[in-house]
Amino acid sequence: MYNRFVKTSNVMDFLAGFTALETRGAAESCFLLIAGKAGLGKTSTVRWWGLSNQINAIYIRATKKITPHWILAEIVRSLGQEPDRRMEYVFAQALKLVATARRPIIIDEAEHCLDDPAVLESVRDITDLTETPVILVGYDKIRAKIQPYEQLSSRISAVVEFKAYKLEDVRTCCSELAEVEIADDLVESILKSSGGRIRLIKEAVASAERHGKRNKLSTVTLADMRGQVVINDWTKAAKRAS
Amino acid sequence: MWPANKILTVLNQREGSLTTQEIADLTGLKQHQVVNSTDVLVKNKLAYRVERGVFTITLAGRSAIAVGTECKSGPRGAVGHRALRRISFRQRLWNALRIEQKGTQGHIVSLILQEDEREETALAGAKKYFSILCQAGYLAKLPGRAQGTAPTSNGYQRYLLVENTGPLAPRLCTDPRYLYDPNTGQTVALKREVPREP
Repeated sequence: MYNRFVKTSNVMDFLAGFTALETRGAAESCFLLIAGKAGLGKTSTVRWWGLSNQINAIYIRATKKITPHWILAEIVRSLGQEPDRRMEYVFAQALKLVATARRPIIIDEAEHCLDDPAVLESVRDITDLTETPVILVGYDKIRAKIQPYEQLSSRISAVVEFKAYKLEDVRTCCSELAEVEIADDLVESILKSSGGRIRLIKEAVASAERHGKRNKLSTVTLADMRGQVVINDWTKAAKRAS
Repeated sequence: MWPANKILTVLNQREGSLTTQEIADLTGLKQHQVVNSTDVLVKNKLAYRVERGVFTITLAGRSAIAVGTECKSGPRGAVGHRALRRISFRQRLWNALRIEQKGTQGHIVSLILQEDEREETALAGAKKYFSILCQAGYLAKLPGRAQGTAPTSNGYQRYLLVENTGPLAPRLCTDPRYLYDPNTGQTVALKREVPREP
């Protein structure tokens, strides 16, 4: 398999969402919300985007029981300083560093920040002043969870919903990742058995490629994969190409 | 031979002092070369300016000739750590490692690969940097390998970042080989990996 990041329709939606954020009307509306079910590539997309040369974003992974001091300390640490243990000082530290660095902030697993809204409030206080874009990434219910906090939800300039992959996306993944050609009937089967989740799609591509190489096939079809385990989805029985 | 060395040799052979014109005639150098090189020799205390345009060799100059030291352009002494590009390839690898914490070389490279970069070149670069970080104890090799797709593939080594010291990528210094960590300001000795007993 090739080591590549595949630009699917979800990635394109995300990039369009960020462009919308950059061209926003109100300067303080600097939040972009990414929502979607597990396994649709939200985290991979923001990591790939954040690591690109032009962006070089600050990446924070929120955890359960995160506090305002904790998240500010994480921001300070990402920017290369040791955070102060007092809240007022760490806030000043974070404000200064974020204003100087001018790098977007990615908060992954952002739903953990909503257990205590003061966590995102602290981030908001910084971004209101520095106008730094903040990308919130969370599972599909984050949208409903953030709605009651108007001071936060009103600052979201765009919401990008990561959807299950379509046939075209699966085809792109197969053509860009696999070192052998994957036939259209197998692509359709992969879409059906994976439920459009990238993690399972990658697994299926690897299985097809392995089978193709072992049997010296230039194109792997559904008939070639008959009886082979394509996806190991523990929620269901192992899926065999049928 | 370097111009400064030619001049030093001539000054050593001739007792007493020489003018720039005499040096130019004896060495075959141009006048401006003599002016520049005598300036270098005087700065390095290998020659002494008796008066304007007149030079003689010092004791240090004679011993430099005896030892065979070459007087040439370049840094005088250690220059310290090299200045780096703001976001180099290794810096991007380090950023990805800090975010991902663990993974195969291929997976980490897939996150940072730019449109104009070749995958093979990037993987070769990642291989070298991962090896250095492993030798310095910044990366640990995880048990169990990621499955490959080729029939004879042994799979891919998975790595775990165990020393996440800060946002700046540790860099390799040669002669002697060590890893300099700009986050802590410390240097770390590299240990050669010992192959495991069969």
